[in-house]
Amino acid sequence: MKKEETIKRNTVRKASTSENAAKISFGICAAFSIIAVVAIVVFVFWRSLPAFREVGLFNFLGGDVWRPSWEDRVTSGEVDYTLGDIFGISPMIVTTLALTACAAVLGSMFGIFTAVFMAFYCPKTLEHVPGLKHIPVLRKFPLKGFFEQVINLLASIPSIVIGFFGVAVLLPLVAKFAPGGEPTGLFSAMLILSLMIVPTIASLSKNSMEAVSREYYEGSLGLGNSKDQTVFRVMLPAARSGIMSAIILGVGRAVGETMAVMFVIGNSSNMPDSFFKPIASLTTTIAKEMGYAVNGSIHQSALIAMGFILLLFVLLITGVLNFVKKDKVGGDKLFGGKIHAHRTSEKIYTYKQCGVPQTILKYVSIALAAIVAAVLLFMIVFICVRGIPHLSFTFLFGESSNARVTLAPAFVSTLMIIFMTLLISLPLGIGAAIFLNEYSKKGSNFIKVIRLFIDALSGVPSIVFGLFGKIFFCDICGLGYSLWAGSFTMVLIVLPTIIRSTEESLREVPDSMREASLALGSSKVRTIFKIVLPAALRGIVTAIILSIGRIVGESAALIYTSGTTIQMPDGYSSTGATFSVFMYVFQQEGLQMDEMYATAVVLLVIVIVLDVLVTLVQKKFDRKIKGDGGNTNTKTVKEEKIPEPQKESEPAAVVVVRQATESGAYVGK
Amino acid sequence: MKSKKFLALALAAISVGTMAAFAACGDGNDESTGSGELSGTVRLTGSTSMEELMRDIAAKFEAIHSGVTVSISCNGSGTGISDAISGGNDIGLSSRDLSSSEIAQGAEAVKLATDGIAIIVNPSCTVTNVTADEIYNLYVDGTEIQNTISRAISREEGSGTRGAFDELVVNTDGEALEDALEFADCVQEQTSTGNVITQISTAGNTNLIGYISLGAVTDAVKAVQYNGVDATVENIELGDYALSRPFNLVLNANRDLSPVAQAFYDYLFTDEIQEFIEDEGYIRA
Repeated sequence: MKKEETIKRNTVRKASTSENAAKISFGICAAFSIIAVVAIVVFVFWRSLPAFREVGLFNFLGGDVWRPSWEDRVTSGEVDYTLGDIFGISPMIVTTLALTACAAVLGSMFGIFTAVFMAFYCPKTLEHVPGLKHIPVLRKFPLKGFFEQVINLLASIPSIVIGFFGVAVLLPLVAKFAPGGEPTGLFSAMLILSLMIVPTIASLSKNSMEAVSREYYEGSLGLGNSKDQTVFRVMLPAARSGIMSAIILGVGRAVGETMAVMFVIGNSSNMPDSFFKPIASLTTTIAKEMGYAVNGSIHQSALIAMGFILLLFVLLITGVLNFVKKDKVGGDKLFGGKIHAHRTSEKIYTYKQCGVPQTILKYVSIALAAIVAAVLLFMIVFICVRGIPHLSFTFLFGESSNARVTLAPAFVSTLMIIFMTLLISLPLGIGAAIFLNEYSKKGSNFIKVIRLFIDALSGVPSIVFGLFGKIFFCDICGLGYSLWAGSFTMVLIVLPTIIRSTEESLREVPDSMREASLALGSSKVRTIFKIVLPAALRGIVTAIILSIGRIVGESAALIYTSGTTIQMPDGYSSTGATFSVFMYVFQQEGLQMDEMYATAVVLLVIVIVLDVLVTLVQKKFDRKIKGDGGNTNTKTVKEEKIPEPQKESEPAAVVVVRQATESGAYVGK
Repeated sequence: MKSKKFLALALAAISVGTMAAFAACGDGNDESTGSGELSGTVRLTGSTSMEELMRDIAAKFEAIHSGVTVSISCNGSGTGISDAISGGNDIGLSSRDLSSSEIAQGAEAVKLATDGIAIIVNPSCTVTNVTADEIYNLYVDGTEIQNTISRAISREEGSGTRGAFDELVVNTDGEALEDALEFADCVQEQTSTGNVITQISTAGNTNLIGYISLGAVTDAVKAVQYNGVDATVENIELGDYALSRPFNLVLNANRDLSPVAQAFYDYLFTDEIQEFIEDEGYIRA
């Protein structure tokens, strides 16, 4: 093996100052994410103090009137009200909770059944579908791979595209049967939001179902259960904790979603006592008013305080997630091992005769999965039909001016933001991941704290980053609306993704490789850069592509940081709009709908390309690892290890993905 | 060696990133002010209602001065005013008058034009005329208009169009919309002219009413009479149509305009542009 040769050539080295320097710089990278979270939390809290103080905590949280434009009238004594009477956010808090709960229920239902379909019922190719196997063209169509791709795609469609789909298609549809013809409100927002969290829940649940030991499946079948009974009575309960984590991550996304919801929710601060009534959530209120709130006003402070409450929600969710994970790690015996096997075998006798419910559930899962796929395909077709006729070379690449707006500046701005964001966040993120995985003592409290902070950072709604970015980078740092401010804000948003994804793949590198390298006399830094990082390249490349996707899809955080101008940027200190922001600008005036749909098509194309790229990268690296000489591949090595009884806590996604890789290795054997 | 390259790249990236961050904090906006030909950027932010008009004028200005870029970012009047105060723009665009606290912070408004606010419904809606009382009762109490219209769209707090509409719609008891603490449950808020048009023009939305800038009315929606008067430029000039508001330029009293911004400002008040404003369906300053 090539790697071994390079190791052999190394001479023994002493740990030097450069070793320590490296360790310290990795430590700094890791510390950055703590500093970022602490800074954001402290800053947001500090800036929300005026609102809490002037409005009064009780009035603020309990009041149900939101009339910020009266601030001047109240402070000047023109009307007989206090600030406590006009800044009440209880309708927004209740709406956020209700909306999240509804979306979580609906999204979990669709997500879990879709996951069951993907994991157990989706035929690999159309060959296996009765009736289609005689059509030669369709026979080889890889249905399962295609379906997984579709779900991934749904996860990466920019929320502004989904939001506009909601306005153009969903609202008129809902208006047909809604009481009073009122389509905006909880019902529509719930549908849109659950559509957005289905892919998160589906793909993570699928991973954890596939990670359930194959023996359960075979054992259950061997005991005479039908496949449906096995799937719903054995596999599903066994994957319970992974599914729980998936749902909580979905809830995290639902709490923070802004743009898509803003289009269909109605945006009035009413109590959500009906499904069909305009309401407003915390995120949408921040998004619609943060541009107006005068610096230093109570209004601005109140919006920041709403961001603070969102932060608290997110921290709570992160905490719950950790709790669930602990339960999973510590209480493995609850779901796995002998006890579980015993439980299932016992049950078989009781439900042997009644497999009907499970068969029904099978068809439910096929139906729900079909609905999810159909909605997505319809959305894509709808946008393409409306947008493609308006795509032209001039519109894409022509010079953009006030006389004729083109997308050329969007290409440049988007690329500039991607470049600068990655330039800053990659070293930071990879450094932090190296520190966490290579230098940390397993189970140390310091590392636990850092992980918790990174988890928290990844859960912070992007609108809160936008609010923070606007006030901190634009106003306090004096950057104004600029690509700098946009890029810095995006760094905060993508950093957790990069850290997690890198760390995850670092962890997949077997310790034996590190030990071999060290034993041959390589220094630790050398081991990291020559052995560990190249082996973890897959995760890093995936992280880069995911980050690009995140940047391309982001609108809420960029509108108020990098600005909405349609001109070509002439440097990082000028304003510039990305594709998503362009779409926002086009729909704003209502006169450029054709251009808006055309931009949406461009966005879709970018997203699809990125998705395919992720799959290709992962395939390529998988093949490389497999082709690298039979049994020495990382997965097998991992699998041969005796499982550690006390695993340290790790993000749920990591748990799920790890399980997936492990079981994949098992099945492959 | 791959790893060394990687390390070098990583370190370079960190240092460049940090340096750039510091550098960026330092420099302001660089408007080169050559002695002869004008060049540089004029930054306008503010009202979405004024965006279309300003974009057209900017195109004309750029055609004359090839070295000049007029950058227009529109997120609402409030943004234009707060940017003018904080220095986030050269000229702010506001489709409402300034509040006392905004003036106290150094903002000053110069009227560029007057715009009407059209009350719009779906083209297939049967209502052709609404009164101030009907509007007031629908927005505040949720009372149906002529047994047809039961839902209303308002703009978000801080929108210039909203500010003017709330101020100008006064019922027979002398109460303006802006004096109501809360609107009825049937009133939704949309954040841009485009969203309002999209909602109202959607087929079947015949029970919905809203308001937009008169200059932005398209065939997709129908403007109704207000208190029996058509929403036209003539009726606004005659003073018959009550719903009109200024298009203001917002300046910072404590700061001089850059030469290129000054040139654009002067250009806005030339006869050519003022006539153009009239042709576009607005009333000149």
